[in-house]
Amino acid sequence: MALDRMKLNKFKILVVEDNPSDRVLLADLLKKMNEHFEVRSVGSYIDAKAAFEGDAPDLVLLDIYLPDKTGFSFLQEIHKNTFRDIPVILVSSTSDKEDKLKGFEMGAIDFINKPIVAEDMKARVAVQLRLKKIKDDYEWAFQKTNEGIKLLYKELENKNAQLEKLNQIKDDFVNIVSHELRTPLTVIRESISQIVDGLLGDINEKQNKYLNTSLTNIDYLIRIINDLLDISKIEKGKIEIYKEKVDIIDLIEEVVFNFLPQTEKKGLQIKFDVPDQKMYILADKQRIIQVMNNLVANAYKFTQKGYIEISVIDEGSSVKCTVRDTGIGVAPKDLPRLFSKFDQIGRQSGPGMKGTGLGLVIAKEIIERHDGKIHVESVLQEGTKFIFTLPKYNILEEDYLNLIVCLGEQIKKYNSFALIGYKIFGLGQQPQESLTHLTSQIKNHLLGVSDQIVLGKNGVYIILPDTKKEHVNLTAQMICQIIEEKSQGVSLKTLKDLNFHIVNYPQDGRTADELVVKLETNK
Amino acid sequence: MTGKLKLLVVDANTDDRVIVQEAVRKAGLGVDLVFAQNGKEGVDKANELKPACIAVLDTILSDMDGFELCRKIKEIDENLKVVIYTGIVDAVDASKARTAGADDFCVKTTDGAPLINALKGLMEP
Repeated sequence: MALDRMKLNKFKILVVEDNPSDRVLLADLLKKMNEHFEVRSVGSYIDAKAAFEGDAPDLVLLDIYLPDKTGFSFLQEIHKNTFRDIPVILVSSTSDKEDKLKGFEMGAIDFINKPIVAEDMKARVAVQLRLKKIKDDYEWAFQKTNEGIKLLYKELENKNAQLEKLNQIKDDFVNIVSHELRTPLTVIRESISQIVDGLLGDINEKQNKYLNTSLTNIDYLIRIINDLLDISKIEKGKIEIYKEKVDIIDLIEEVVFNFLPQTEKKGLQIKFDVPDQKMYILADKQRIIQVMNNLVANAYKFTQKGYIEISVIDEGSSVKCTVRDTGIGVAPKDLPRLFSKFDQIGRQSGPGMKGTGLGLVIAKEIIERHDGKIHVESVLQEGTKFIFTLPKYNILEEDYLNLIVCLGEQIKKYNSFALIGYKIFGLGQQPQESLTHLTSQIKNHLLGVSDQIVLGKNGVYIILPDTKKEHVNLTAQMICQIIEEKSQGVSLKTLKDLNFHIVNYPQDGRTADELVVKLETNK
Repeated sequence: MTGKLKLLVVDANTDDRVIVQEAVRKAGLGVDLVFAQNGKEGVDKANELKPACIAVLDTILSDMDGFELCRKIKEIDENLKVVIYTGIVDAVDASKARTAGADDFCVKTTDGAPLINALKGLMEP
């Protein structure tokens, strides 16, 4: 059976044997095994080597003791070069165990004793050829699989490149169309507003009604265009956030106030549950207004009766805001899709217009860019709750007043700068006096004229405009030394702790508030 | 029947058959295409077309897999060349193809280029 299969594989077998009668015997036996075997027989090392040149054999039968060079040398030669995988069966009359072992050590795979016993020899050759075939098959399969994977990978890469190109075209298209649409829409809106406001003469009630409908639709269109622009910015990571100290309560009140006329008209109550005192967050005011607008507009749209409740809870280091409605709710299976792009789910009952479905995607991006979190909870027919948390602005402002003013000026003046903050503790009885002294010492050693030094409550701040990173680090170290030396000079032996942090404008923050918070939370 | 070389394509997927047709036409291989939808049809056609025929077999067919069909075709005439043409790149499948006696194993791509290369290799004397 095994031999039948091999019939398809015309194995090439090389016999290397210096004894002519043995050589003939081996060749004959092999040919009798299978008529398809290509048997070559040679009598010397040189001929054997030549036999490898053109077409390497599948199996070698090798006499260990060759005249011009011993079989061992030939074996060594086969196994140190590219033919190392070719199986070699040693043939010898030797009964010397040492030689046998040496042969196996050098890579021989089997041993045939002389005088040759035909059945023994055939069996050994058959085993080796079968192994060789299995090995060749696996190598073939491995190579074909490898080629296939490479081809598929290349195809994937090409498709990917095509998709990227298409995506770019889409982005450009959205951008151009959006900008081109926005300008004329703004003009149309302005004109209609003027008519509605009666600036161009009296209009009757019917005209007023139709013009107002137009305005609503124009606003809706503008909103969609803005959403699309925001999304394409988000996709490119280009949405810019300018964080400042913002009173979230004031912000929410402003948003809710704008919704009052609409909700009253629809008969919806607005419940407002917020703390009495101000609550500050570090945020881009316009962007957070956008989020609130979105959430309240959603609640309004999907609620027919009942109320919309907006609450703010102080959670220590963060603020938790909730917008809750008594609307139609969202099915559990749809909840995870709410924040994903272009997934307008089938909440149809809203009398308002369909949106782009992008509002929540944008809201999520904005909240996350503020290091906050947003999630949704909902029960069908009972209502929906959107909850987001934002970190509080928890810097004692009076400590940084000078710094914030100074940073504000620098931001106007320069494209980039580094801010180094030094905290100095243990300055003895009169820390402010010592700090003032230190500040003047550092000032004398500062390198550039445009560099600034600001005195803080527990330390000093250095601003280095347009300075290379390595120079900033160097300066920071130098100033450290000055502080250590000078504070000793003025007998401030109690200096316990000195540390500094560096933040960069605009990489670490785009506003004074943001930079200060970053510097303080760096610890 | 002319003495022109026939290409027997056994593949149940219409899209894949179209890809082969296009690729062969574009490459100008000068072979006649014969299609079969399943293993049985493949065996019948191979019997008709032998000996001037190269078989291109998908691995997944309704009545038997491509490897079994390969074996059957080799039983009809062991000199008929067989290419296993598959969308699944898998060492186990490649190994099965080899033991079934396939002459080549290549992956389906949208341009069919690997198949054309395989066919060119097999058509060389």
